[in-house]
This record gives sequence, structure tokens and C-alpha cells, in this order.
Amino acid sequence: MDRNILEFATLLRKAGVKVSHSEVADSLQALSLAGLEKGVFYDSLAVTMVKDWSDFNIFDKIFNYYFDPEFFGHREEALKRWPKLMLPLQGESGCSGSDPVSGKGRSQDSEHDAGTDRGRSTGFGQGQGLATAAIDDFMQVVKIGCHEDMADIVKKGVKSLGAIREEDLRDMKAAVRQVKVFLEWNMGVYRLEREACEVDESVSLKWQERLTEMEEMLYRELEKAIINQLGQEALDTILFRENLNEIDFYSISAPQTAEIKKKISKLAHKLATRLSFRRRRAKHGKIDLPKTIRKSMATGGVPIKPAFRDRYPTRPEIVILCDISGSVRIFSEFMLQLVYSIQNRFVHVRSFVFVDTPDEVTQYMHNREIEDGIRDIYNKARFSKTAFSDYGQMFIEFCENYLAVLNKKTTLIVIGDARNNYHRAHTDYYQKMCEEVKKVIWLNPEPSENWDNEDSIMSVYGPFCHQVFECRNLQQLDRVARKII
Amino acid sequence: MFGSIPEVKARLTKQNYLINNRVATAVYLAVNLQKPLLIEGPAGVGKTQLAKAVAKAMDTELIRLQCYEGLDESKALFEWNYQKQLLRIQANHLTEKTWEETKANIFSEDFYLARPLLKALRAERPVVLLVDELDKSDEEFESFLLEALSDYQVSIPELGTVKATSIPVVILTSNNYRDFSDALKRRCIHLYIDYPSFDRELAIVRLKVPGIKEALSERMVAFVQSLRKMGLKKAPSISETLDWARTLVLLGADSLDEELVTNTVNILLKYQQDIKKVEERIGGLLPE
Repeated sequence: MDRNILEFATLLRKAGVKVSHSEVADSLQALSLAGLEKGVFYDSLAVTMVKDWSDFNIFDKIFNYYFDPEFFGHREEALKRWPKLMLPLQGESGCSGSDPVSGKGRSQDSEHDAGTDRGRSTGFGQGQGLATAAIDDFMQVVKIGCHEDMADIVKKGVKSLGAIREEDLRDMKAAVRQVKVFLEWNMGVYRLEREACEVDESVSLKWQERLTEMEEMLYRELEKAIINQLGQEALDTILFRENLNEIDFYSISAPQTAEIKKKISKLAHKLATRLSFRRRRAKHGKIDLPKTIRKSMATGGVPIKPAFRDRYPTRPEIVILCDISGSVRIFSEFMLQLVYSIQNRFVHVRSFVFVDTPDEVTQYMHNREIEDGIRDIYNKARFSKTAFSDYGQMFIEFCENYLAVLNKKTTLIVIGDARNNYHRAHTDYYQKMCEEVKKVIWLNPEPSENWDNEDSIMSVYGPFCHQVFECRNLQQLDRVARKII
Repeated sequence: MFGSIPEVKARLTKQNYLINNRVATAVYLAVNLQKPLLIEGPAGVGKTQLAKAVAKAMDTELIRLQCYEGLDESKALFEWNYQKQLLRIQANHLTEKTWEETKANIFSEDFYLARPLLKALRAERPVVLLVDELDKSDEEFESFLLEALSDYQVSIPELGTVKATSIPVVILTSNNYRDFSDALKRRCIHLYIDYPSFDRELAIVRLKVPGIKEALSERMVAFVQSLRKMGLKKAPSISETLDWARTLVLLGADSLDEELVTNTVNILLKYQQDIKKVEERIGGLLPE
């Protein structure tokens, strides 16, 4: 048992959860105290190992993979010669129908929601399953909301992929898309949305919740299949992807986006409080000469105690210019969220979005929920004429329409990958903008080794900026945010 | 002390505090491993109440240390009773004692005021020490607390190291206002309390507001549960549900209708924009 716990802790660490030795020791102590009963086992590990509630989801996931009976039983041998052993197992369960697998799955799932009654599910999955169109199945399941049915549908979907290949691991989004097509997922969502107008709000809210839950299930099921098929390395890759701090913004899945948003609001909070703390404390540094002399009068002209200058916190004006073309959209949204959650740190923030033409979106974000603001940007702002990024054209138009926004107090933050689709760069206009402001920072969400490849012209714009950062994961965003804010 | 996890559950239920298995496990482990219990979760889900219930269930005193920005050792640990020291010095003047004698006298145990932390360590039998909203305190205070929490002892320059006569059950609560250091988290059992499920919330409402009609309680809990799914700025928590239930009982309501909800929804929601959002859709949110 000890070894398993240690191994489990190693897996958690790989996924970016901080688990120290003393925490492992605690958990072992806790287990010897509380016993190994299933629910207690899970809870004991949870309360001793996970110290940050945003890591809890990862814990739950790894727990379910690692302590999965299918997985756990074969562990000893599997560790020695993994792929050969796991392959026939997978094939077998594929042929002999869903019974053994879903049976196990069910007992697993129902462990955590003792509330749902089991009787309801049995007729549905097998009886109607294949006869009706997939879309009806899908909608039924969402409407009824029974966990076992949801798991069945998801399993059927993953099975439709057939044998798992390396590509599925490399590009899980594509695999998920494939499964969704098979289940007619998007069609179902669309129809549900239409029906949602007619039913009660409370019902449609429930549907929405189930959809997110099912999406999460789908990812998990797929990952499980991949791990079973491809073995230890696949597990490592998947865990590494779970590491929200280091995962590339390019490759995050929908559930992870939500997690990252939570982390960003935390980061924003940290930034906001950190500064207020420092400002209160530090009254050292530059000596205020007039004040010191005035003070020295009391001691007959001998300056015994120097007086220090007050620190006035600088509150920069920020102009943020976001590329929201497909490739960098997610990162731009994160950045907008970050900047607007610490709005009070700045004199004002003005934000612009562009694909090939800039449009001001400050008014959508002002004093509103960030989510609503971002939705409005896509619905109302006019940022695209051709749907292909064109930085040169954008800079020209910015100079024509908005140059007055910039002044010597402004920090200009440009967010984009500088992929110009081989258009002209128009650096003269960009230079003009840079000369207007105090500071220019460019954040590029692409890995720096890809800069200047293909149509990226980062090195053309780079020299005009004061700072250029590669900012492709949460860790880097954290570091950059501390520097510029 | 608690003998087993079911016992924790039973004894806390007796105190009118309903918990699920994870909370019971965490409390059990924290008490038996003698480690601090760090509770996080949204405001109003009963973090402070849990500490109170644990104290009552263990039939012991609850010592509460409320944290705020600027809280320092003198308010948390101990302080010299300055006035009393002055009085003694003046009194000694009259008796013409030497300064050496006076000095030895005024820094003794008669002259300090024990603050919550020291009180908890000095208690005859184990008490429950509740450090409430630790996230509101400064980082220095947090690191000061580390010594107390890891070895259950504190260092006071004039008195030396004070060891705990009995090891208290320490409960820390946080609203996630800021992150704690890893060093602190490492020493704690961690518990995240989320909004309760439908069944548990219903049970809580019936337990705490006995006067409420069965049908009404079901409908109002269902309503609150769907509010939480709406993505509001501040979702209502249990304490708000209870307030609302009491209000409804006070108003003598038998069932929920749109008008009643519109008039009382400000008990559940604390932000104008949330209220507006809900009022727009109130008809759909009320189950038939």
C-alpha cells in the first residue's frame, strides 16, 4: 500500500499538484487511523494531499485512473511490460459488448452519487440505444440526467473511435470532435438550446449543467482509453497536460479553460493586494531634503533623523490591443479578464480588439461582468473585414482613428502572435504609435522557437517594443503580470 | 476526542450541524492526528459554525481569534499589562524598593494579558481554537502562526518558550481572499466546503427552521439550487437560505409565488445586478 500511495503522489506531482513528503506521511498516518474503506480512503487522501481546492478536480481524475480496478489489478505486471499486456484487454472488452466494462464503470460511478436510483437506467441504455438515432439518445439522456446513462453514451462514443492511435493523444481535441460527430453532440446541443426557450429556466439550467458534466466525462473516458492503450508514457503526457501552470494556452480543453479562469481571478487578487501591502510598508529610499532640513531646525540645525519621500504609487494608463483571431483568442480573453479584474489599479484602461481592423471595446467591459463583456465583443464589435489577421493594416487604421488615445503616460500592451499572413508589415505606423507612449510591451502566446517561422514577423515589430515576452502558459503569465503591473 | 468517523457525524448532528462524509473524515483526522484543520469555501456555508459545533460536540471551550489586516502578536498572543506595571512601579516608589527588585517583579506572569493564542495553549484541557478568516491577516502573522501550529509552542522573549499544556484542536477558516504559503498548507488537513446538495440543504432547512411547511421548504430549496447554477456574482449560501426560510415563515407563507419571491429575493442576493438578472427570469425559475 505504501508504495501505491507514493506512486500516486508522484503522479499528482507530475500534474502540478504540490505534494510534499510530509503530506505523504500524513496521508499514510491518516489511512492507518481511518481505515481503507472506499469512501473513507478517498476522503482521507483528499484532505491530506490536496491543499488547494482548484487542484481538487485533478486529484479526483488521477484517483479514478490510478485506483481504477481495471487498471490497478494489472499494475504489477503492467509496469514491467505494459503495452503488450494492456492491448488484448482492451480488444476483448471491445468485442464482448458493453456488459463487463460498463458494469464496472457503473459501480465506480454510483459510488460518488449514492442518490440516483439504479433501477431507472437499466431499460434505457441497451433497449433503445441502437434503434433510434443518436441524437434522440443524446437529448433523452441530457433531459433525464441519470449518471449511468450519461456514462454509457460517452462510452459508446469513445468506442466509436475504434483503436486508439498516437494521434489521438497528440491531438485530443480532434478525437473529441470525432466522438461528438458520432454522437451528433452539437446537433443535440443546438436542439436543446432551441427547446430551452420553451421550458422553465430551472430545467434548462439543469440541462446546461449536465452538458458540461458530460463533456468532462467524455474527456475522462477518452483519456482512460488512451492510457489503457498506449501505456505509461501516455499517462505522463496526459498528466503533464493537467498541469495548468505549464500547459500551453493553445492546447487547453474546455473544462480547463474554466479552471484557468479561476486561477486568473486568483492571480488578479494576488496582484491587487500585493501592491497595497508594499505601498503601506515601504517608506524608505529617497531622502526628502527640504523636509529633513525643516525637521533639523528643532535640533539646532543638526539633521538627526532624515525624512523620506512619500512613495506615490504609479498608476499607469493602460491601452491594451488584443488580437482575437482564432489562434490567440483564448489568450486575449485571459488577458482581458486579468486586466479588468484589477482595473482599479490603473487610471484607466482602454481596450481594443482586432483581426485586421481595430475597434474599441472599452465600453463593453466597463463595470460589467467580464464574461458578459467578452460575449458582447464578439457580438457587437467590428474587428474583422477579411477574417485574416493583418497587423500592418490594423496599425494604419489605429493611427488614423485612435492615435489620440496614446500619450506619454500610457503603457501600450499588444497581444498577438505577429502572424501577418504575408501582408505588408507597415512598421512606420507601428513606430509612430510606439513613439507616442511611455512603454510598449508585446506579449506573444506562441513558443519563442516558432517566432519568425512561416508568416510570423515578430522580429520586425520586436525592436520597437520596450519588452517582448513569450507568454504561453499560466506560469509565464504570472511572471509577466508581476513585471508589468 | 472522537473514536470513529461515524461518531463524529453522530455527535455533530446532535449539535444540529449536518455534515457529509468528507467533512466528518477531515474533522476526525484533524482531531486525532493533532493537526490544524484549514477550511476553505464560499462565505456562508458554515465554516465558522463547524468550529462552534465541534467545540460543543467535544464539550469544551471555543476560543476565537478573529483575523484582520494589521493583527499582530500583541493582540493574538499576549501583551504586557502596561497600566498594571505602571501602578506597581509607582507603588514600589513609596516603599523605597530598589530598581532591580521592581524590574524583576514587573515582568512576571502577574503582569501580562493572555490573548487567544496563549489562552488556548495554556488551557487546562484541550480547547477548540478557531482562527477565523486567516486570509484577512498579513503574511507576517501567518508565518508567526506557523511556529504555534507546528510544535504547539510559542516563544516570548521575556518568558522563554511556552509549551502547550494541552494540545488544542485548531480550526482555520479562509474565504480565499489570498493564498497561503505552502509551509502553512503543508501542516494542515485541508477541507473545502462547497454549497450543499439538494437533499442536504433541505435537511438543514428543516432542522434549523422547524416551523416551515414541508412543501414550501422543498420548493424554496429547489429555487435556491437553481439560482446557484445561474452564474451569479455572489450565489446564495446556506446562511442566506436559512434567513430566507425564516422570513417566509415569519410572513406566514404557504407557497412560493412570483410576487412573494420578487419582494423577498433581496435576502438571498446581495448585488443589484444579480437581483436584476433573477427578477427578469423569475417566472421560469419557479418550479410548477
